[in-house]
Amino acid sequence: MQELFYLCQTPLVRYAISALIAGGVLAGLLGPLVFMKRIGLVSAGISHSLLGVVGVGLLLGWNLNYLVMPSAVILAVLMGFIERRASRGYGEVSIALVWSVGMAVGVLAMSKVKTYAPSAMSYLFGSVFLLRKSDVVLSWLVLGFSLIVLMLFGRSMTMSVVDEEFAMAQGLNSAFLYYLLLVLSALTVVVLLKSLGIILTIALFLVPAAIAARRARNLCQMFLLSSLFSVLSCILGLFGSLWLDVPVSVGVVFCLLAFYLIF
Amino acid sequence: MKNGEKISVEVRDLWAGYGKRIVIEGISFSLTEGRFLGIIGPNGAGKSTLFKAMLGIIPKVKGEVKVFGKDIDLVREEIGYVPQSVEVAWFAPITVAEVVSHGLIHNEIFPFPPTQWRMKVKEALDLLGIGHLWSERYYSLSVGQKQRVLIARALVKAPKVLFLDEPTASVDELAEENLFYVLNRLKQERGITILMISHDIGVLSRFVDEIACLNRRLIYHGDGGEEFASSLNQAYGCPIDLIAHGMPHRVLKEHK
Ligand SMILES: Nc1ncnc2c1ncn2[C@@H]1O[C@H](COP(=O)(O)OP(=O)(O)OP(=O)(O)O)[C@@H](O)[C@H]1O
Ligand SMILES: [Mg+2]
Repeated sequence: MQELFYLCQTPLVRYAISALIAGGVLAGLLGPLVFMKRIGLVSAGISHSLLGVVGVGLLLGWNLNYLVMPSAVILAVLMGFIERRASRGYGEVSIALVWSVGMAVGVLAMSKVKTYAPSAMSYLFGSVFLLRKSDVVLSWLVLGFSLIVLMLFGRSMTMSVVDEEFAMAQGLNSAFLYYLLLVLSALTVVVLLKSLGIILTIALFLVPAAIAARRARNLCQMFLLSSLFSVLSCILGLFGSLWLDVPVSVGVVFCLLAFYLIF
Repeated sequence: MKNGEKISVEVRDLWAGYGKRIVIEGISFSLTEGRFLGIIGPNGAGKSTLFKAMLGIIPKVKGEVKVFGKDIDLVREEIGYVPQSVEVAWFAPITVAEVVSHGLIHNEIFPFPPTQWRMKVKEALDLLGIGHLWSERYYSLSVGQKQRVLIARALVKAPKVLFLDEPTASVDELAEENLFYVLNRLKQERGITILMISHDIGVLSRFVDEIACLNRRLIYHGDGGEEFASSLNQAYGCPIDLIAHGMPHRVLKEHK
């Protein structure tokens, strides 16, 4: 316990906590929306298809730091575009398409890269104790931006997710709201990837939302519960894994699993 | 149409469909304020498609829709819509009150709930006789209950024009009587215009002022009678015995 206390004083652990709170709230708020829209795997799709961007970036020697976020947004918009144009109402199809093509491009590009590419791995699997201050600041900027957007558009996004046709009859621009949801998800994925990696990003989007869907008595509660479970499992998972000396993502995933089984 | 009566809904040469497939072809009609129009036609005739095209849910291929002489986007707040399918909000733990409150939202930017939304929602639920369902989860309701909730969602903003797509398909007799009682009262007190799709000839003959028969094109629009009967035969492709369906041939005419 003493050690844990001292660990918390170090900037690296403080950064980790801070980034996890921001990421946890983000995933907890967006989770219910993608869950209800049945595009829960959007986070998986975006994070995996980023492999293509990382691969091409490595091959051409681009700076990945500036590349990841804009590409994530473009990939999200692409998913939205495919859904609107070709598979209306089946977001999964466009996710699967972008996901697999992105990974294919990534595999292709990496097979051409002569040297071993460890940085690709770190982009994909994340490491919460290697966060720099700028990463943490970015997390909170994304959180701030998303909160503003959700405050303005959250209600109509929810309405459009619940019943898109009725939302349109009421005069809402459902396409815009759908793109907005995808873009926010993409930004969140980028924030989470750095700290938690792909597998956890998927879990953090879906599991708290699924628990909340079961437990909440109304929509408002669903968002609150989902964010609560998301942040709690991040923090508990972090301390648990520090204590037991296991990787953080392992701790968080087992926390999520425990919550899912208990609640 | 008498002089001085305002046209509330006007459709001119409307063509619409899904992707490349055209479903409704060149539909034109107009409706005076305070009238109740019933729309009938066989399954797949394009009745729901007509509503969706009028409301801008699917794009128009061609044609024009005006409500109170304006583009429909300018008068959304006056329009209530009850869709045919009640399967919304599949996995959402959304309550009946929350579903109904969506009827009050008209802009993307909507930071705070409108004042008095609770009161309005309560009124709408009571109007439909389902006030006790307020905090129930929507998806745990029966189909008929869901249908009544969606009618409340359309009525909550006190619309001037109401689009009802088979609103009583799964609703029990008593609730159906109540709904038509409510609709009639709204028509008389507030002069609202109602467009209702229904397969129930008995219901149509009792409550509507005008009737339209649709099968991809508008086959008949008027106030009933022999011509309507023969249009039905044309629409369904076989003789329809109106008397067996509870409608004496001229009942619509005599009702006025
Ligand atoms: N989402 C859709 N995508 C493609 N085609 C559709 C879609 N919805 C309806 N259609 C087609 O349009 C035609 C008209 O459908 P519509 O739902 O308007 O019929 P309807 O008159 O309302 O029938 P019902 O009495 O069964 O409600 C049908 O042939 C149907 O196949
Ligand atoms: Mg229909």
